[in-house]
Amino acid sequence: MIDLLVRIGRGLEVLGGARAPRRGTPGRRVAWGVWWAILFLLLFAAMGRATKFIYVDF
Amino acid sequence: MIFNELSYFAFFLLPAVVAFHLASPRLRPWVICGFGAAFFVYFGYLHFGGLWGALCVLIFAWEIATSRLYRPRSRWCLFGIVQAVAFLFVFKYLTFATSSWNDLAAVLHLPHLGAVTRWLLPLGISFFTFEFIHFAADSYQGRIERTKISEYAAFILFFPSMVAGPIKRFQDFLPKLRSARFDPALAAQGVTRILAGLVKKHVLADTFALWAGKLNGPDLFHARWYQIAGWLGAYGMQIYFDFSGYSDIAIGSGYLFGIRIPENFDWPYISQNVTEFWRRWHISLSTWIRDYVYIPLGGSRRGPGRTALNIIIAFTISGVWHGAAYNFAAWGAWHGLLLCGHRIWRERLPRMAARVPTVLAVACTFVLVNLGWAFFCMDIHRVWVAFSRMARLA
Repeated sequence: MIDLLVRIGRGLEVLGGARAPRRGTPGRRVAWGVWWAILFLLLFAAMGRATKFIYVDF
Repeated sequence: MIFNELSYFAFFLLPAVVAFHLASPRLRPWVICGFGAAFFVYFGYLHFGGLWGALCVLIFAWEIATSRLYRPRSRWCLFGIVQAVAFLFVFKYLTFATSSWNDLAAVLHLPHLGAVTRWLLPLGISFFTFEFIHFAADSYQGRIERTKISEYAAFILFFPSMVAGPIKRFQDFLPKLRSARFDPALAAQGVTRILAGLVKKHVLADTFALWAGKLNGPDLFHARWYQIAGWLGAYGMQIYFDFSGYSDIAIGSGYLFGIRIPENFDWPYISQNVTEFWRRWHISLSTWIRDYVYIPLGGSRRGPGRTALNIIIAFTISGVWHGAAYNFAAWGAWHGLLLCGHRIWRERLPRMAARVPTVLAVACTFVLVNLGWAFFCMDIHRVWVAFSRMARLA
């Protein structure tokens, strides 16, 4: 169970850019491009309600 | 604001990255200085006090000039620490200090001071003054080699981390600056990190903010206890995704330069106790507070009573650093008390502490940390209302 959670955590870190992904095969690079496109789409869908970052000006 | 503005990417990050990698190694620190100063002037003018906000860039020029006088055991280092604290006090705390004095004076019949209204808050002052203090203190201790003026200027004007951290250390930054090169794999990772940071902010943090915002609205006064608990949990998630998203964008921007700046978060909400939480949450601040406040106060070397006092002082200072208001001091003191409590629990009842199931330990830590966010996001009166409603299970 713990092992599975650790693997999920590492996977999320790779998807979030906090951990380096394994060297890219062409298929992996395409998957990476798809992931960037998903992140862009999520971003554009949510951009309208832009608020300030909490830690910027205190 | 700033990291979620197109101008950050179009006018600063991308041109600076291209210029940095095209420049010779000798000129690279000057590229960072130029873009860092322009970044400060542009966003200072736009969001932080207009012309006067932009002119605060002179603080950096002054700091760079005085840093040239720093030598091991030199009084100039002490001067550097005092002037950094003075910058922070004058711009951030003067209004709070005078109003607090006047509150006290009213009770004790002491003379009143004239009311001081806050003039302006220079962009990133809470963070860059901590880097100034670190450089002066470490120069005093002889832990920093003599360096070129351009390299120190690049350290304090490295704009991805200038506004809200992560708080860097010069000894860590300098070799990375000198050996920086364009690494396509690291740059791709940086782009992922920036995008993920923006998604954390706009998709997750801003969604949790819809619930957390109720804590500062009229709903609080007639909410049920479980609603208040839910909103506090939502604020805990909002601040995590907001600040870790911000840190992701800063760190990802650094990757584009080929420079790895320190990590700020490491899954804080899976911590099994509050001590572990502070090793995982805002890491660059907690290590700064440990090195430049807690250890100089004596750390844990002067007995259990003094250790507890040092922890509470260090965390109260950390709380006040987050904002010039009583609720932030209370938030810091809350964490100081939790850390002391955990220390006593661990030392007096080690067998029992070792037997607590992991899930229970994580859940208890999560609840205690999220109760603490009440002090962070509300004024003291509202905190009282929220806690009294939750305590009565109203």
